Amino acid sequence: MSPNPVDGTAETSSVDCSCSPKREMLHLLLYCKDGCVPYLNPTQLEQYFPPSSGLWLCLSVQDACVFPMFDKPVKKKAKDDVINKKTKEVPAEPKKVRGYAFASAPPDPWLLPYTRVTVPYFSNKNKEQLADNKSICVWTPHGRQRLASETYAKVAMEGLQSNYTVSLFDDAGVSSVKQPDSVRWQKAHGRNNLWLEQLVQVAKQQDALDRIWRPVFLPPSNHDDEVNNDAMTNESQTGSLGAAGVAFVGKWRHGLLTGNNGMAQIPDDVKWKCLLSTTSLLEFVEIAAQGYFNIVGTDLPALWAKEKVALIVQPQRGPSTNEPTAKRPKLDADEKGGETDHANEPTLDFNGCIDMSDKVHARDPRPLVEGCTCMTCQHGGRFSRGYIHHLVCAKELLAEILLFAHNLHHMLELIRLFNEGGSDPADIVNTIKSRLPNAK
Amino acid sequence: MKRKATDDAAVATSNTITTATRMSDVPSDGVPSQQQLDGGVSYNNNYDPEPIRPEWLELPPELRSVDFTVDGAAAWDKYEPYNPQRSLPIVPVDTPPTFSSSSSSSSSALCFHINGIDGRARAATIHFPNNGPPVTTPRFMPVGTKGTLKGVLPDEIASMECPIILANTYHLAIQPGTELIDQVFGGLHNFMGGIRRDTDNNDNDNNDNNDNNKRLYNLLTDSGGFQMVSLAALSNVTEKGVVFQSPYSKEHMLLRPEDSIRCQNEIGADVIMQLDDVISSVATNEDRFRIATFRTLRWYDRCVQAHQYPHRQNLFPIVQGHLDTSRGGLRELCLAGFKHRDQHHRRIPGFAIGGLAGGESKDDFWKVVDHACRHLPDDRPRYLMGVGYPLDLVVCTALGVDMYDCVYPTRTARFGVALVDEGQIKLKQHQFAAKNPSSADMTINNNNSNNNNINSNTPIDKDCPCEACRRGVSKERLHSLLKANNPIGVQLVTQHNVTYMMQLVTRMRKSILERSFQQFVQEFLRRYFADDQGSVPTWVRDALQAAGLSWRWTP
Repeated sequence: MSPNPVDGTAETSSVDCSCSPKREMLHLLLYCKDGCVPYLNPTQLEQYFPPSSGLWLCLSVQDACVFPMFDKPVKKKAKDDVINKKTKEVPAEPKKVRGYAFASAPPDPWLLPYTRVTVPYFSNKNKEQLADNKSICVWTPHGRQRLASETYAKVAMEGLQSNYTVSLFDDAGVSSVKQPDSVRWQKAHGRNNLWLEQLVQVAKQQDALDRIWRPVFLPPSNHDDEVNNDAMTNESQTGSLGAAGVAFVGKWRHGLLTGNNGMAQIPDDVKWKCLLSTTSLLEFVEIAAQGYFNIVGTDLPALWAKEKVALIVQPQRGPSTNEPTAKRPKLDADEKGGETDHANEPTLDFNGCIDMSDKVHARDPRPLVEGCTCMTCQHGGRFSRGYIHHLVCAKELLAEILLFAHNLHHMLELIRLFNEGGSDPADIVNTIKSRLPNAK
Repeated sequence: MKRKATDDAAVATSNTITTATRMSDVPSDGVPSQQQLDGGVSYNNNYDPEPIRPEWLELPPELRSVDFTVDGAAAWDKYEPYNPQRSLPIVPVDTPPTFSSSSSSSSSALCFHINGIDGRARAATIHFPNNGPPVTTPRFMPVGTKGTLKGVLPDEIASMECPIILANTYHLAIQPGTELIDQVFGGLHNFMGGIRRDTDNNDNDNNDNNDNNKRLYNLLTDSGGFQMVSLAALSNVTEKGVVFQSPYSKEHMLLRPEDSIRCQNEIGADVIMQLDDVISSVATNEDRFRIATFRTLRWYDRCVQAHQYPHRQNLFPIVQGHLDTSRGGLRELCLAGFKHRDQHHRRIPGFAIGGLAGGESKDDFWKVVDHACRHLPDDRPRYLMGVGYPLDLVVCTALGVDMYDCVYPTRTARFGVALVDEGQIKLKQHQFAAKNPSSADMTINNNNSNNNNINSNTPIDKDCPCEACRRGVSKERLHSLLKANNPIGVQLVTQHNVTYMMQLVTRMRKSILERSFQQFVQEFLRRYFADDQGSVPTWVRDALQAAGLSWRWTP
């Protein structure tokens, strides 16, 4: 999967809704680091984001299934038994971690009502993917660990017991800006098919073939088109091998669904088409609007919460009294800040978010979004912008909790809007685009 | 949402105070000149009074006629068991409050009902006229330092049965500023989202007495004095107030009693504290203790003078006096001073016991608490500041304390330490890690032979109603979340610790009402000291003995 973009510009081109005649119900696939929903305890999760909200959870073996290993008991000669040369077991030192290993662990019980998807990793920092046909190196919270394909199959299928499992993959550096070495690409492709076959065999034994998704790689934009087409054709010709779904890995870009592109040749009996990673709001809504994918993965709500920004752009038509202008006049340097001055509204970033560390929020009693029914804004704005700004300044965890809940709610509202079908998806995207800075 | 405007004089006073605290004429080297400060200033961290005014060491006029040779000269409004001839008025648990300054058990901003006693331990209910929940005692108040209880929502505070929390005036005055909290948001309750509006209306009227606007919890603010002397650089106490260096702007600030009360008025807490002259309990300068004791009385008078809302905010004085519990000693002098003010000026709604939890020996600690409870009125709440260890709570409740506060449960949670009756569970220790997976069969085995006694695959406490324990989150799981620095781990342990403290005080209250507090204490000690009577410290034995309780349990 691709890392987050670092440029501040939103992608600009028209939405292509021509490839999918029939819109699927859309779901949001949320990254759950360490096997738990970010920031929300079980009660908050159930109360504000029940399974019926369209939220799916993405768990990764990379961080949810890695455990420390301790020294095993060692046999030492007993001091007083040198003549008989007997040995006894000396208990292992409990503090000494020998290493880390992947192991099965059941998911948290309150996650069971949700539809869960298991992936090997959310992101792999390796510049050089260290992999062979049996295993791949994965960056875990405890350093680089080797994840064997058999281990992954067992941990993912039997341990996490997710509804769907994406087979282990070597992304061959598709996230790299350099053109992948063709040899490496070929090898990775071969490994991925091998690992998919292994997983399918395990799934067949458990009569769980409909739980397997195969990964398909989206070539980067700077790669040669011919190479791309070959790659995509290669992917599609391999077929799903009976997998129930396809998980697209990499960064989405326009044009991947047009022409004779291999993606269009994904068999129709593949029920689930998931884009594992979206890295901006515009990308998210454009992909949702296309109708090709029925699951869109993202980590944006948590990332935005960590960056202390709140998503406030709304797709409804008409002016919003809550949305700031894209530009604002310069603040008077001596201004201490009286009551809320709408002339000094915060600026939107390219994701339609406002930075809650901005001093302009300090005296703002309004909610993040007027009329929003999320945990943060409900009841007429129980947690005001001023309070959230204070929490951000005070470096309090509650700031991230409130921002995450709001951001996730907002994104689920967007999903709901697409699913309702009341508005033309292109209109929704264009409305949002019109409110974002730098969007053409 | 604005409060009702204060009168012009108060506004003018407020502006004057704000200007006075800015000390904009501080020289470029950052050190205030002698002319800018009153006497008694030192520029190092050790207080070096120079010059000391003789009147600071003299007995205050109101105490000169007190005969301290008489037993209980500094005690007043005592009932049983201290005064067997006077029965304490016991009020049934659900009795509605009355708020009247003429009542013996209430003021216009606080109603104190004693629901039961068992020895010196009391179970009471404190009511505030603010549409908030009643505060039952014994009561522990978790500390929400900067207007939030670390990672806990207001609804969750209420669901943990926590009717009152503490906020720090010092931190809130620095960020975001108490004037902002008041003028823009109408007080800290509103600011924190601690008011639940049952009807989803857009009416911004901040009418706290509206039945539709219920406060989820009450608030108590401290004066900021302790934080200033413990956190701020270049902190020096003068007769005017405390000079300290702002950690943000680096400029010198003077916090006077008037300023502290103004900030607390703006915050709008239900209970506010006087600014007292705080001295470390392990300091040794006797003259300094004497000055601090009398200055605390003078500063209390200034706090009362500056207090704008006595009808809705209760100002508690703080009993100081170092560790001197001798007859006619500093503690008695301070108590006698407050007794005089209570009886001749304005009725004091409640009292705080200060100057402890600063490193003194436990033996001195319990003796000061014992002394204070023997002298303070029985018909008012008694609040012991800065105490939060479960064992301390049990012992001090036996001595007659009603309220406590401490950062300990929430702070220790952030280090992965969970509180239980048996002591602590350090969840980050390796013994709570998931068991070794074997090389072939990579399955976590609940029956792993290692660490069978740790039971790391069980919740912290199966009987605890907190979020983590109720959901069956195992210690293993919490260990992995804490080691991964996942915020959920800290949130869950914080909620557990706060819930544990709430459950502890609830159990104490229940035992007092059922007149089985003795059994509760014995059972608590048995579990806390792992059934080893020899482990019970001497100070615990002595304190419980002084409270008329037996510390021994039946093996």
